[in-house]
Amino acid sequence: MHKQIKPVRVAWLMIVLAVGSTVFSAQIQEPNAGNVVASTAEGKVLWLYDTHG
Amino acid sequence: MFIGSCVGTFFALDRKTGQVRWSYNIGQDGDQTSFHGNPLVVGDQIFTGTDGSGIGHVYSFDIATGKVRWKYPITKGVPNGVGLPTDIVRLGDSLFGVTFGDELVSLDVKSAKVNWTFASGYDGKAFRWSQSPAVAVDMIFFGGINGTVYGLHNQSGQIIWKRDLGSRVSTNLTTTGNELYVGTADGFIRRLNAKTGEITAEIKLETTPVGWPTVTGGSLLVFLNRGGGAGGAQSLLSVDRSLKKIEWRQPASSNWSVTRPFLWRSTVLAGNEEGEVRAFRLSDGVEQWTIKLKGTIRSFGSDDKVLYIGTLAGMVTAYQPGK
Repeated sequence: MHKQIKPVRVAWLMIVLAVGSTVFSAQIQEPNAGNVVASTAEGKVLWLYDTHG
Repeated sequence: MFIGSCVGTFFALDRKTGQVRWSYNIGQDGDQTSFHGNPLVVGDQIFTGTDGSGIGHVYSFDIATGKVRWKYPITKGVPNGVGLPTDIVRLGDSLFGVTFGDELVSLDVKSAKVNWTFASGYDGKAFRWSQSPAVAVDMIFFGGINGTVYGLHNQSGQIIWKRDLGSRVSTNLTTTGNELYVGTADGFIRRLNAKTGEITAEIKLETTPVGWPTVTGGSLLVFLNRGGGAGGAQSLLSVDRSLKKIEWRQPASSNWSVTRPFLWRSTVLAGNEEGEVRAFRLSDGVEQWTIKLKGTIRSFGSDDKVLYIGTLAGMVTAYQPGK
C-alpha cells in the first residue's frame, strides 16, 4: 500500500511552491519588505535584490 | 537581467527570482567603480564600459558564465573621470563607445583590437560628460563637447561629414532611419540628415535638453535641465518628430533622476529623487500610475510583464503593476 500524505504535509509543500520563485538568496529580501512606500498601480513586488551600491 | 552597481560589481540576476547567476567585481582590474552606460548584448556576449578615478575598461562577458572573454583598458580621461562612461553600440564586427576626454573608440567585437580612434579635440582640463554615439547603415555618429557632430565611416573612421552646432552637444545621439537627433546646451534639438549632416529641422526649448532622447512613433521624448547635466532634470517633454511643437510636458515634483525616458506598455516612465516612478501615457502625457520606493530612482529595465527598477542606493525591485 502506498503511504498517504497527511494533509498538513501537503499544505506545507504548497506554501513552499508558492513562494519558491520569490525568495532564497541570502541577499534577496522578502517581497514587499517596505520598499514600496505608496502605489496607485495595484501591483506587487516579486523580489528585491540589494547590490549595495 | 544585467545591472552594474556603483560600488563596482556587475551582476547577472535571474529575472524570475532575483538570484545572482554570476557577478564580476571590476575593482580587481584597477581603480574603477562605475557603469554609466547601458550594456549591449550580442549573441552570447554582453559588453559594457566602465569608468572610475584611475582606469576604465570595455569588457566582454560570457552571458551564461560571466567569464571575461576580453577586457580592453582605457586610460583616457578628465579630472575625476577615467574610462568609458557611454553606451556601447555595435555595427557589424565593430563596437563603439566614447571615453572621458571625448575620444570615440572602435573595437573589434571578437578580439578587442582597436580598429581606429577619433578625438573631438577637447582638452580634458575640466570634467565633462561625453555623449553616447549612434549608428545607422554604415556610419557612426559622434557628438563632441566642442559642439560639432561628426558622421564617420564605421570601418575606416574617415570623416564623411561634420556639422558645427555652435554649442556643446548636451544629449546622447539618437538615430531612426535616416534621421539623427541631437540636443545642445543652448536649448536646441536638431534633426540632421544622417547621410549628409544637413539640418532638416530644429526647435528651441526653454533650456538644455539632456540624457537620451527617445523616439517613439511620431514623437521624441527628452528631459530638460537648467543645469545642463544629465541627472536632475526638471521636465520631461514630448516633442513631435518634425520638431515643430511641444506635445506635452511633465515637470518633476522633485528632479527627474533617470536620464532615459523608458518606454513600456504605451507609457513612458520616469523616476525622481524622492523615489517616485511615474508612468505617463505616450499620446498625451496623462499620468497612468505611480509607485514610490525608497531612494532615488536610477534605472529601468523590463520584460513583457515585469518592470525592474534600480535605485541609486543599489536596490533592484522587480515590480509587476496591476492592470
